[in-house]
Amino acid sequence: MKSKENISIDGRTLSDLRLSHSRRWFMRDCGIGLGGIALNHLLGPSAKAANDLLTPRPSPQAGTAKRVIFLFMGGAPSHIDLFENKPTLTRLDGTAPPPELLEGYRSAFIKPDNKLLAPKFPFERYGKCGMEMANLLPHTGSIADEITLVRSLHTDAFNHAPAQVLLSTGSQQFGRPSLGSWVTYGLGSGTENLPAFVVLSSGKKGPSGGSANFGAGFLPSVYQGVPFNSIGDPVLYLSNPDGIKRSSQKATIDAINELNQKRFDSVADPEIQTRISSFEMAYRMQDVAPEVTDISLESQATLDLYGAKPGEASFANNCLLARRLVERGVRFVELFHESWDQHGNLKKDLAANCKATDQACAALVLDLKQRGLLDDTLVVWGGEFGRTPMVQGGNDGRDHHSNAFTMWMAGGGVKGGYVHGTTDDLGFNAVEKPVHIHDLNATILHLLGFDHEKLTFRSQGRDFRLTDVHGNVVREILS
Amino acid sequence: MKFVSFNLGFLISAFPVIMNAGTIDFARDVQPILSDNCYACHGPDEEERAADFRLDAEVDAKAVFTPGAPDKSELIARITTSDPDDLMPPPEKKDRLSTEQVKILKQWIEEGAEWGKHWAFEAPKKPRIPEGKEVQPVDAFVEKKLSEEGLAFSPAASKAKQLRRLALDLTGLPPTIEELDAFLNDDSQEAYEKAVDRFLDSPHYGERWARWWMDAARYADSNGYEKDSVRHVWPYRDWLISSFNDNLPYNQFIVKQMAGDLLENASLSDHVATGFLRNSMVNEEGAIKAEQFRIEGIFDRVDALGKSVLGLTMQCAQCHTHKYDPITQKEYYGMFAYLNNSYEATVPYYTPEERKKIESIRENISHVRAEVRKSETDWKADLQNWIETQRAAIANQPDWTTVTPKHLGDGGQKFYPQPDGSIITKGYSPAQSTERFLGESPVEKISSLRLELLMDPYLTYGGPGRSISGTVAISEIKLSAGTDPDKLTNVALEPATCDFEQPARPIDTTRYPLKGDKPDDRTEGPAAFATDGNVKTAWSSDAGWGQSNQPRVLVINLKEPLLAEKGKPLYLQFEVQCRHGGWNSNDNQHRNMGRFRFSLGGGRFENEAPVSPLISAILAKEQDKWTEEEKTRVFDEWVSKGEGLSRWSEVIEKEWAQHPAPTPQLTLLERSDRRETRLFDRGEQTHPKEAVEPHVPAAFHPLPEGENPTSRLTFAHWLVDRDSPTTARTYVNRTWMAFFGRGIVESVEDLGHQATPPTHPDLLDWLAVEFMDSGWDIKALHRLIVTSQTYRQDSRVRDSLGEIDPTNRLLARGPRFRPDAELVRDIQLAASGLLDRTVGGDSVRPPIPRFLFDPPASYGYKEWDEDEDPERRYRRAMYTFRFRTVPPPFLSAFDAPSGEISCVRRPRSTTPLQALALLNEPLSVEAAKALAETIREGGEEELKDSISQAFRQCTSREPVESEVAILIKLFDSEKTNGGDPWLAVARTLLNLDETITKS
Repeated sequence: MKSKENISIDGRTLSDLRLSHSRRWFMRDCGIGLGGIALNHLLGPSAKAANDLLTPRPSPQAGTAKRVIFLFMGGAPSHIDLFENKPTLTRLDGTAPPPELLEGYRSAFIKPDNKLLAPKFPFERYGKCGMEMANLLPHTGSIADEITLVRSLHTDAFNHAPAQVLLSTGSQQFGRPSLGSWVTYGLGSGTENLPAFVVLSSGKKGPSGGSANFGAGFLPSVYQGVPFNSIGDPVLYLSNPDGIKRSSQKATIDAINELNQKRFDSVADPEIQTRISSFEMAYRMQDVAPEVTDISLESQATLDLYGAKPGEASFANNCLLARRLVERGVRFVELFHESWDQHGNLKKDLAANCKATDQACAALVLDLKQRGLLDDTLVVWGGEFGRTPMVQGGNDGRDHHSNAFTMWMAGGGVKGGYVHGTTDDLGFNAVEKPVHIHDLNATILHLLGFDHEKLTFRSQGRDFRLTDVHGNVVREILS
Repeated sequence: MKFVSFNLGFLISAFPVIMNAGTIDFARDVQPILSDNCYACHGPDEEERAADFRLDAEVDAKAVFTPGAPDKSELIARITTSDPDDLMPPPEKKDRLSTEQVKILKQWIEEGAEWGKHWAFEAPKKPRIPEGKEVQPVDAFVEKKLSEEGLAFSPAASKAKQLRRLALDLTGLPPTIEELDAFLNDDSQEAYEKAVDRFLDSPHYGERWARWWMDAARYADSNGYEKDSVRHVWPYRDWLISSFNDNLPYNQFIVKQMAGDLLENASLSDHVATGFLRNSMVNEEGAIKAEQFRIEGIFDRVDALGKSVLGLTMQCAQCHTHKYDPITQKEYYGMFAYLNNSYEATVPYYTPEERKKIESIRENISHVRAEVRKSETDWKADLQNWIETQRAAIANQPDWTTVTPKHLGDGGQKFYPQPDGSIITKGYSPAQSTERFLGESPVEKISSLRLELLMDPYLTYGGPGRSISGTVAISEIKLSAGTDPDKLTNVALEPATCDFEQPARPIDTTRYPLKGDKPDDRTEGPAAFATDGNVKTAWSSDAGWGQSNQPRVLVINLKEPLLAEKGKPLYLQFEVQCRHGGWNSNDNQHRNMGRFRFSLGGGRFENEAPVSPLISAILAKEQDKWTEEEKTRVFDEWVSKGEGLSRWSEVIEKEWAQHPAPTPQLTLLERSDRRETRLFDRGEQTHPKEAVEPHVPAAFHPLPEGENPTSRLTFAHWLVDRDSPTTARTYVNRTWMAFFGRGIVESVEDLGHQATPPTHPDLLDWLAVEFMDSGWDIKALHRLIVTSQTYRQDSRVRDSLGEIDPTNRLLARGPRFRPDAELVRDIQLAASGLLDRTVGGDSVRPPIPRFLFDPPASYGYKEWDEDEDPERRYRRAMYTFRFRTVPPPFLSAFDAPSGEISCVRRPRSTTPLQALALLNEPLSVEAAKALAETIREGGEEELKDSISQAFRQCTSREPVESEVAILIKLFDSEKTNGGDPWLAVARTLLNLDETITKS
């Protein structure tokens, strides 16, 4: 019997695929198809190991990355102040932008002809590669030789919720699976004791589109992101109810499963076996998850590296937690840190945000490296769009800007010490090697060993993919 | 490849459902292959069409096959050639037709290549009921298929299980022990039919099926996107419940939801029904273009009606002509156009009891009027005098010159100037706002200002404010002026006057709280509060329920006239502060201006106060043309403001004070002026192309004759026209899915070319036509299904059924699956005895971890004042309040949709997170404790009986001896180990697979 199957969808588990008659059902009706090549890998010889929807499986091509930590900087960090040293912009500070630049430009709040505003902080060169960043980011600077800085991102939306949902799911339309869901759908989970896709949140607010940013859309719901709380129960409803001892919980689950097994003996519905396994796994999660999220178990040196403090809710703690999670096989960890929406108070808030995040971001990369995990763990840092080179309000704010922004990636097969793409002299448009969100997603999937055109799921009569009908792999950033 | 084709070979014998050996059917066997592999380039979409050749239309396709001769058919040559230049699909597509698919195409050509239209695009005709041993129509169709496979029905399920299945399907609740016993003791022939009737008549029937429709209607209690603020649309939910309970025919059910507002003598309920269309999300982010998200809302409506009513996926055609189904992009925008001519209105909803109350208030007031006429002997003359005085006052005004400032605000709201010089506010609505409006004066001398607060259908209850009561509170108005817009100086103002004044009173801190426990000394009252230099005092338009939603006008004299310098522009800046909201801008605590207009007077305004705009409008008409309503309004205004009448007006005011608070239900209201619809190139709003008139796709049935072809109502009638090929099929198919776990067409959202083939095509068509013949009778359809032998079968996976038909498509056994999330919750509550069975009403807040509603888990702070009262805490899950961005975690764990988009087919998963929720979530634990109490009542001496009883409450059947033994073993060990043995048993029972399964 399928004793290990703790998860099923519409009554089917992947091992059902071994029953040849249901294979067709699965491909055709359940909509599961990773495209021609991937289909074989799912259904072919390796399917022997595939005994549930989350069982780890190799990607169709050899990917350089096996897991992802996505540092989602919600609210949209100012690429102008953090990553774009533009002498021209500094020189033209306080003047109107050239009108030809603004043709057809859509802004959120400001009048497009608001005056230009010079970057607020001095820039420095970091690493052997001499990567330029604002001196607000000394720690990120210290890992310059490990990262690819993409200066030429651009996107379609300039409001937070649609743009965040676009970055998260490849579409502004709600209801599409998130990147984390696609990845766990493609690769399964590396752990039987923890969710495959974990979401952590810090900063001033939560993600602007809410749970749509880590939803499974039309993918089976086992692939949706599971929010972990950084304080209290890490997973919702993980603790036994008040007054219930561990031994009682065990005895209860045993009785439940014994009765379920009896019922199975009578009605023979394999779904009951899945239910039994789900209770077994729940029990294991109760065992394992509290330990995973207890960062006080880390050495003082490690805590200091991140600037983490046990018992606090912070981005630093979440970074350390992310490392602990991927170490234990979690496939995709997404950290939302929503506090970058500097329409005003740019100087003060940006400095504070960098202080709250810079050290931990760098620590995460260094820590992964020293543990030998960086080679196959992809770290992505970035927000949903950029900010205007023009001022908003008095002289200390910037508006939303979708034409250009910066992200960085590290590990998992991307180059270190490399800068990709450039913007114009004002940081307004991505002019060289522009990278759209679809290109970013195509590249991430490529790093994980997937052809983004082939990782598909059939829904509503057609094969959907993360990149819709777009996306090109940015080969220059591959190491 | 070898691997897959091997299995396809196997399939032919194992799955005759899909592929009958013998003759090939074009629609069933051939077209899906062409659609899957060829239509993307050779289908309906002109822009993508390659070589100007289409395989979806017979006239074109004929060129590539020769009936009877596959070897002479280019179609076969092109898919089998080894020449990469000729090969189809082209090698770069990497999709190859399987050997089996090629075989099917060859056989089809050999058999004569008979072309057909995709089955779903031909109106269904009633097939003959197969003759056989079964006479019940459903059974006859199912039995035919079974016997073809050498299979037979399973025996009927036990009576107890039949009743449980029936109760869960029809009412969403397990049967009570009393219902069970009554049924088990009823040996009559009609026992089952009687039970069916009882459940169909149960008020819980409407709840069960309303919840089912709410998935399609993407129901949620919040706006979604970023702010995700609360909306109050439970009246729509109540409407659904009563519609199902009253067995409203499905065609009317749809017409009312699509165009209830356009029906003759539309009732409040008819308006509420259009809430279906308004369930779209609303973006209230600070930086939005309101029009962009209005259009997104219409895209969403087309998507929802496509999935739920037409059974077609429309989204594709938003950007380009549908690649598979006969819907051109222009036709998509033709349907879009029907929905593009409405106001997104918010009407005051009152429950039937509240409506009665209002009725009695009106009556009482009308008695007072009669009293006035009786007691005030000279009332006619006095009233006429008063009218003349008002007319004189209206005449005695400065010449107002409207000014529309160029710079419109910078507080986050979006301002849209209108042709009449007024300004409409949309987008983000901060709870505390300061907005500045800067423009050039069109006049050279200014002695007075006028601020009109106007009504607009898009505002709640018509306005004039933006609050969710349509009200506005102005904390302060300032005027500054000068020749240099960067250096304006303050202009001194005299106290404002308004047609509506009220005495000062403290602000309502429940509705408009400040953060923390800070003492709140803000007040609201007379118009002078708007100009007193104190932002803690405000003029407010809030005149109480029933009286607040009317236009108002404020007039302010300048202390000194303002004069423009010769030859220089005079810049004016109006600053309006609305600081009498609360602290949370994501929680409807704002009171900003909705639609307003500034005017300038050359002379001073010399009257004591302006006349009410409503009264002014009536007085402007000839008195003998006043309607009764207008006469009453003038009469009331006279009583309210005339001299010496306060003893009457006080009584009237007391009556008004009794007026119940309405619920703001979102609805659609048709515009009188037509809004132009343009096709968006690639679906992008920034690329509008040609104008499109409302019309329906040509491949479908025509619009009903004799109706206005551009009206939304006509479109609604078209949707439920008898000739619609997909409407009835879609409904019966999704209904079938609710009972059996999967549709006859599994892709219930899509019956088009890419649909999964129907398992029982004739049954689908028979049910669809029968449904229409019955007058779209939903209860009759349900009765037909649940009285079938097919439905009443035992669900055991007997014999080799697990191998032959693992997903039970052939229906050789009864349905067995874990029902929807809401039923899981309701079963827990019902089995434990906690359930509150009240039907209808507003949403409730059962326990959910607070941190989920606070940043940084949630974008903004969300109110989640947990309901402690059992009458709210233990309501059915359909009443649980649903924030779209923070959906209830228990329900999400069991695959409940978030309501962001229409969902007609939920996934059904079994996961460890479900186990955790069942074991540990607070309400699950409370249910277990309640059940434990019922077991404990009997004491240990009756333990066995109490356990059996509790077992029945959970599963509707008696446990067998060995099952009781397991529970007693648990009881004893827990007792020994110092646990709570009663609770352990109760938790076990509530967590059983059987408890949360329909079987």
